[in-house]
Amino acid sequence: MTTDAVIETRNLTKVYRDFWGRKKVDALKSLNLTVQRGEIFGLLGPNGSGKTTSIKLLLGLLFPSNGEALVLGKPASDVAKNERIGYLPEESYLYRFLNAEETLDFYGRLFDISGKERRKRIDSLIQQVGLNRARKRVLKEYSKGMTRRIGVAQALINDPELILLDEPTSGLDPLGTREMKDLIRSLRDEGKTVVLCSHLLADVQDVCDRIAILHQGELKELGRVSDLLSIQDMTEIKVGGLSDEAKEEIRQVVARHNGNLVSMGHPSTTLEDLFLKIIRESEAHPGRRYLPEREGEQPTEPPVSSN
Amino acid sequence: MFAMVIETTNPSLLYSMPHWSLPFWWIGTVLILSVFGFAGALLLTWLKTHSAARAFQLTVKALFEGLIEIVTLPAGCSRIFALAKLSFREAIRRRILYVFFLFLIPFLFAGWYLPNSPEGQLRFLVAFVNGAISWLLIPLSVFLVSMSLPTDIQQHTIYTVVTKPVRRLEILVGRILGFMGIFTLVLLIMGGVGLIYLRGQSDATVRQSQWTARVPIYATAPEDVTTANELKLPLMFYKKGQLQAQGTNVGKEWAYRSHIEGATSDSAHWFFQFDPSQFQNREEVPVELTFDIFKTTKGDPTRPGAEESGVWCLLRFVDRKTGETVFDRTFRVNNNRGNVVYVPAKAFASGNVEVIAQCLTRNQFLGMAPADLYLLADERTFEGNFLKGLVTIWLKILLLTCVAVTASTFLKGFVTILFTFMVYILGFFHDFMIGIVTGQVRGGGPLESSIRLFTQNNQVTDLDPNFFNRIALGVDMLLLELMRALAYIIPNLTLLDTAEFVASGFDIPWALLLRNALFVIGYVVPVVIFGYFVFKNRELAA
Repeated sequence: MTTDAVIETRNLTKVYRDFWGRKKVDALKSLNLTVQRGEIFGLLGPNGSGKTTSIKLLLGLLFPSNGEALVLGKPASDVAKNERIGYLPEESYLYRFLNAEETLDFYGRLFDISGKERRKRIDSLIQQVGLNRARKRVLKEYSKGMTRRIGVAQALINDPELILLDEPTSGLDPLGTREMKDLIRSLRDEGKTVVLCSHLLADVQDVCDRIAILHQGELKELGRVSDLLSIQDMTEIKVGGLSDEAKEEIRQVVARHNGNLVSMGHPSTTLEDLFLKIIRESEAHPGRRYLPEREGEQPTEPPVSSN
Repeated sequence: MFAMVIETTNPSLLYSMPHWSLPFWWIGTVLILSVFGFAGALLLTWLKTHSAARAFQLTVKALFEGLIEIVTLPAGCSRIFALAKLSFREAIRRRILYVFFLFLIPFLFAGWYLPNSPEGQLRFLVAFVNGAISWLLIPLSVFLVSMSLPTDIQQHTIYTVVTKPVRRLEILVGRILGFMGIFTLVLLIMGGVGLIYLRGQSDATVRQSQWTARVPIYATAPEDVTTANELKLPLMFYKKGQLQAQGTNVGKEWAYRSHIEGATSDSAHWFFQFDPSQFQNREEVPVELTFDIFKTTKGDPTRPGAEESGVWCLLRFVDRKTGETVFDRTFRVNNNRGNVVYVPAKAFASGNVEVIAQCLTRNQFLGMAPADLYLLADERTFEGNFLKGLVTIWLKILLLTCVAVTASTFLKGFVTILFTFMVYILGFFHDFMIGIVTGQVRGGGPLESSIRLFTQNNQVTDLDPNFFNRIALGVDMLLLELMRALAYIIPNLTLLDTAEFVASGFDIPWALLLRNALFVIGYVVPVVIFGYFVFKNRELAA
């Protein structure tokens, strides 16, 4: 593991138990993950796959049943790590009787930001998320999208190094989604690390550098989005400036093989296809790490043993 | 009416400062409780981790981290302030202050129940205002505080707070401060309205005698005089040739006052020791007294126009340094309303005075208690005293707020409300609970008393030693041990009642106020720390 790991989990496990200590559900099974500084990392999975549990464990909202999580080099239970973290919860859980300014002021005070600096950041964040006209309105009058925006603003009030976003685009219209994705990319460009979890695959495909796919509390796939989505057994050729003879020749070659040539290269699948494939595979063989049907390819992490 | 009933053999103790050893007792108690708390936490962790060594390691770690957080609490004062402001704002924005208007409603009707006697008027009004404040503000505060943290947890707003660099103790303390801020505000407004109302409602005669705050000097037990059976008491009775703790028993059930017989050598002796310099610049010192008249003849000996037939009392002031009688006065005793005897200040020059009372009227008795006769050292304003009374209510609210915040770290909102009200109600039966577990209250434990109830068995004889009864007694022993633990954990809320002082026109002693404050602080600090450890070590997400 390199020293530039922002998040590191070792055998992170969470078992929910009932009042009598009997096991109810294995929410997360031995998760080993490393998130590097400056990347956008996506946690994917169907509902109940352990995405939010992972984020809550990283934040110290839940305590691990086994294993450990290090965030910015500190244990997840250490409050001091929160100085450099921004967190946008699944739904924006904010105080509905405060207005936008008061909300940001409250969270700013929790970071001990000086009054002058606080006012400056509140102003720029309100501008950035586009709530300038609603800054004096109480949050209970906000629409879902506006609530999401103020939620993002409060997550950024301390200019964090690591930003954890739980379903960042939920409740946003296409325009808002686009703005959110631009914001996430610009945060990366500023050198920040972003971890997001989502089941909106198109969004993840657009912004994430690397993804992990979780199902039933187990890690099923992990890697760079570009690697994961390329189809190795298919060829795509796109050629320009060929003479008619050459074209004819290629066409003949392709025709001989009953093909229809458009371009050349490895075409991409959509993340949706990959996702569904993994989930189906996982359901057919529970507990097994997804092994891609690719030659000469090794999974980037050793398969996780089932328990 | 000059008397305030103080059912104690030594009323001057109300005015004495807490003993120096008090903090040490407190520290000792807290340490013992901490050991129990640690053992409990260890056991729970052990059950969870199934490993004694790991449980011990985790518990010690949690303890040390907690202690560090407690010690460094002041460093988070700006965060505490932000959290306090949030709670304050929440209460305001949710329009909780409207309850204040509810408070005004009963005032419209209070006049209907006003007693006729001017003596009873102010007492009633003060009790009414105090009651209206307590009975509105206390349930309001319990509801508000109990629901606050559980709502935050249930609605997940706590997520955005605890993922900031906020210590969990700061969340609890900030909440307590915020709520106390709002309660203080409401209390002051209610108090102000109540005071204006009191002024407007009470008539001139009431204001003359009761609209004040007397500072009395009560008798104290002397070092050099004892009763025949060697008790040192502030008030002793001379009977059958010797000093005794009690006078003649006239058959009254209320043993507060003891009686002396008229036209005999029987007498009552109060012993006063005080700093005489406080009377230096005064001509005379009022000595106020309220004696009970017990008649053995028909008719009202104190009725107007019956001066001759009234009950007469001789009061003698003896300087105990010289043994001389420095002042005496014979007067007709007013039943209930009390008398004032103006004594020249020079009679008190030595600061060590014995006051001897004798009943002069044959066949009549005079009843007296230690607090029935006092020197009036000073009179302060009623308004100031009223404010002191509000401080006591404030302390009570602080106690309940802290109990509710602590309970809400591990209970759901409604359960917290029930729990806090249970503490509140049991707090008023504290003496009764202690009486049961110490065996002073007859009737035995819960099972024994139920058996006695159903079999209509009296409380004095032993239960029939049959098989069932023996089992019941055995179970009772266990239950009584539980009750004993509970009885000593529940705060004694009867201590926090000073309305009687205000209503009777007596200054609430600063010493009493200080002791109440120490009691509440001494109680809430460990309670909140306990809540903090629970809150810190619980998961806030589900």
